[in-house]
Amino acid sequence: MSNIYITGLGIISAIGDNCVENLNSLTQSKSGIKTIKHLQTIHKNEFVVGEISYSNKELGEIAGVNDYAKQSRTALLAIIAAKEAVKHSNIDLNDGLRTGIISASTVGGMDITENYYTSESTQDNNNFILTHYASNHVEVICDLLGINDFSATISTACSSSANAIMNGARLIKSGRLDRVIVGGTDALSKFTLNGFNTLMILDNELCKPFDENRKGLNLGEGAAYLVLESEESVKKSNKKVLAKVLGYANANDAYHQTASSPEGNGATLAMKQAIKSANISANKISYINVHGTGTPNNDDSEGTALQNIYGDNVPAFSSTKSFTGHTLGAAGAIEAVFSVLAINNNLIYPNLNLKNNIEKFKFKPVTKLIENKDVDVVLSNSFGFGGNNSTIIIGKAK
Amino acid sequence: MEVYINGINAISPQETYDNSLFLNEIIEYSDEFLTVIKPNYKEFIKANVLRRMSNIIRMGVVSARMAMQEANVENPDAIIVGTGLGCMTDTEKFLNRLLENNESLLTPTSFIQSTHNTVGAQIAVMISCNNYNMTYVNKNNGFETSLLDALMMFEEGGADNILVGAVDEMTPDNHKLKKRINAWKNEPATISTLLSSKTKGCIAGEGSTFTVLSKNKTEQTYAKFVDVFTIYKATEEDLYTKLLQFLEENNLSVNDIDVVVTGNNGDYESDKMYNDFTSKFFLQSVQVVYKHLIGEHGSASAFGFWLAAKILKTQTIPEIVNFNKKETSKIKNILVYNFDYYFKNNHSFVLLQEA
Repeated sequence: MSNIYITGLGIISAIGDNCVENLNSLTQSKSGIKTIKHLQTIHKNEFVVGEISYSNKELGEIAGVNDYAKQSRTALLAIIAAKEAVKHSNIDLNDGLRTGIISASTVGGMDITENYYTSESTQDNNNFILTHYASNHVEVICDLLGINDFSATISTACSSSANAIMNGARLIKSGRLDRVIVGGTDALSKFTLNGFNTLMILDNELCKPFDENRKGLNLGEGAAYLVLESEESVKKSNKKVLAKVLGYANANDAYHQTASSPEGNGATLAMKQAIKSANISANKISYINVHGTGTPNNDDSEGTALQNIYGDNVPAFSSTKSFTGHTLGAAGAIEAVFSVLAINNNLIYPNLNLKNNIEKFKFKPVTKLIENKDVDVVLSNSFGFGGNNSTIIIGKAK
Repeated sequence: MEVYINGINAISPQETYDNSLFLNEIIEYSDEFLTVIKPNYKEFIKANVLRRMSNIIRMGVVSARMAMQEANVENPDAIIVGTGLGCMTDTEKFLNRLLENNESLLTPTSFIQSTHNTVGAQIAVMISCNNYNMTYVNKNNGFETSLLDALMMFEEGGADNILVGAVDEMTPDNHKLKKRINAWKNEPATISTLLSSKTKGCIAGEGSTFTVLSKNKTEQTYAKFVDVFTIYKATEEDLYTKLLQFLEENNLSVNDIDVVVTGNNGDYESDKMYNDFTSKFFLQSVQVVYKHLIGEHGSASAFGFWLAAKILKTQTIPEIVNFNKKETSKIKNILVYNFDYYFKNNHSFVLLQEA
């Protein structure tokens, strides 16, 4: 396919407010998962989460918005990451090129909806009614940055922002846009914490992706955006590119609303089709950033999918959710940013907290940081409820 | 490349799910908001599965199956769904319980089904479809973005049939909340008076529209789906420029548009915008309206698409939707125009053509 270049990155997660901080935490094996500080919940001392240490007021200051109280935490996180990505790419939004945005969120403004839902009707209390929409943060970003040519919001559970990246790339490839800001955002909420708790897939301690004795996931929050540009757009500005989107695919497990099939059907299809769309052979992949939530079901199903494709010789892989927690609608974009940083800094990140390998698999994740490694191609998986499986392949720009 | 509408189904507050009818009998408002006229869901979903499904999942899954049945497509190459607010019944159920019981005594079913992509996922599970499955949640134009995604997929090659739809449900809680921000009319309205209203606000509704888009024309074909355009914000002037560009890209001029389907909903300000748009460019065209029959919601414009497809196939315009009472002999091109009436943003054009 025609080249889709990545020219800007922006991120805020439990391990840092920007790309530099996130990279530092990744190289120092410093996880951001800890006791709950801001989320008002009765489960405060029961679960650890990948929470961003700032209050909404502080996030508002970082985001540069003065009406922080009117914004959902989801939108505040999105503004911070989108601004960084646009600044990083150095694009001029008034140069006549067509710029769009596709962003993702699972619960939109739920973080404030749940606080005001039963409140009395006053102007301030009613704000949540409009910020509840999953698309609200996209409108906020469009207004702040002046993006108008195209905007869309995707919500396919935990694969949402991987799908945003894929469909942003497709829009450029179709010739409809020159540039597109793609990514996703989700803030922690009581709604999701309690939801995952009823499913009994939360670990009370630090999650252990791909460990034989893994107990579940840790929730997290964050936002990440990537700026994608067409070949022509990049030529015009003569800028340095960070990486290329080589391939992508979405497939459906069609098995169960929340559980993944034991055969890893959907995951296998997504990976296979993405590799095919990148027009490379599977052994060209240098590193796989797995979905790796740490739930017994996911890691078993995803491991089986890896085995379906690679047999016992799986490329270097790890789950960075052991650093950030599972950030739901932001996860695909956060891990895509990590993938670009891996390529640009010749790194493979460790999978933290692993003690015992999964017995049935003959392969295991990377557990110590690998430096000075030529990372040419990264495959990143994101799987969601509804059997929604997506794979993105990112490669070095040559 | 041509894209054909080979099957379509709308479950709406009117009796529309049976395609042998075309708005023959109109149902007047009886409640604060409009709810859908249900087909016999049991014919399509097993009773034990149906019991667990909320209103939005039921109408979404069944209208999707009816559209596929009509198009004679069992396993589409993609399932693409738009929604404004997604699964509100399950979201509210989980949220209310969470707040009432201070985060205890919760069960997972409503949480599991609260996810925005539940309808698309349930369709996939039911027909064992492993293909591309996407959900867009763009307030009022998730349907149009879904159409664009499908169009790109046909252009990319490899797809023969794509299931595209949009679905939203209205709940008493959500209706009450939106009342707080003056989204709805305060005074009662009727179908015959709503669109001549001089006040703000509209009537809430709900519904599900699904269509099967295909590469090949069949005996069932309704019309061609030609193109779609969306923009977040536009001044009147911007919008007119974009409209002319859109038509030009499709080798058409304003004079070629026989019917323009607009989203008039009884809100005085937005109805004026729709009428100005029509009178500026489409004085010769028939202006067709529909929200007085089905109410306003995040997937309402998909019903406008259903209406356009039915008009092209039957070459008839039911009296109740003919707003400017114009006559036309031959209907070839239809433009569907919609925007978010509350914020006056998220504008969309959809172009359909006789097959």
